[in-house]
Amino acid sequence: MDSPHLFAHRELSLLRALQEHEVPYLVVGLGAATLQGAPVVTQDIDLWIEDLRDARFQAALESVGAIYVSGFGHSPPAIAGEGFELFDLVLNMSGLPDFRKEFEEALFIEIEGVSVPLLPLSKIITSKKAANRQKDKLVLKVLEDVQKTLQATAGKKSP
Amino acid sequence: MHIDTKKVKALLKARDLTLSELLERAGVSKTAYYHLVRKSNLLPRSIDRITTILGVGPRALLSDELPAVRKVRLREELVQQIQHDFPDVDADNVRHTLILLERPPLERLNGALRRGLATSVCS
Repeated sequence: MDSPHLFAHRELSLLRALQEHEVPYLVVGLGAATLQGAPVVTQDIDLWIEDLRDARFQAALESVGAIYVSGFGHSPPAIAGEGFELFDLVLNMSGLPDFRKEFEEALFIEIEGVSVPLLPLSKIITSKKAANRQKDKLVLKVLEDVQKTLQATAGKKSP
Repeated sequence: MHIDTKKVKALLKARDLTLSELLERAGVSKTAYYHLVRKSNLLPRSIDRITTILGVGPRALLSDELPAVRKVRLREELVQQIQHDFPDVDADNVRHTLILLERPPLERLNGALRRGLATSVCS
């Protein structure tokens, strides 16, 4: 029997709230890669928010009972509240200095009626290469193969 | 039901014909032919033209392969095609990507999250 979904109603309600409040954000990292078909694993959903002080972001969080926790010391900012533990807030993406440029080139994917903006796989690869951490190096080959697979199957329906 | 390419190849060989020659004589484009091969709904007019040239009835072209087996076979053909186009790709990476692309995005994400809890390699 399948285990319960980790990303379910509560998690989706946050993305819906971000959409309804027109918050400029992107899902990035391996969560975004997975949504594009990459056979990788992840433990969280990274959200790159253009401006954490944006009143729309604060309003979106409040509408679903989430709380913004500002970063302190070496701890990054976070979203608190039941059902939102999977989300991590990203302030900067290595190799991608301009949020607005990436947002304008976002790939939108529909999840249960919510239009979710993703960082395209090619940009995830760019960022992983720039970050160059050990865990980034481990997944680069997979991501590059996925990109080639997507190129080869563009416009084709899966068998 | 769909066309079995192996049956077509056998018929072509027996008649000393190439696929291009068959399609040209039948007035069927390669695109239409590959559509016939990949889809389960047949286009009667194109089938009629092809069977007329080959001198067989439509049943002679139809596959008796189980849909699930056909799905795997078509996927493997696509893996090989992608490996041909990109020789440095890993077949497993391509195969697993194609399998994931058959699933809804939310299912992909939840699968990755479930597996992520049991591994140290994560984003």
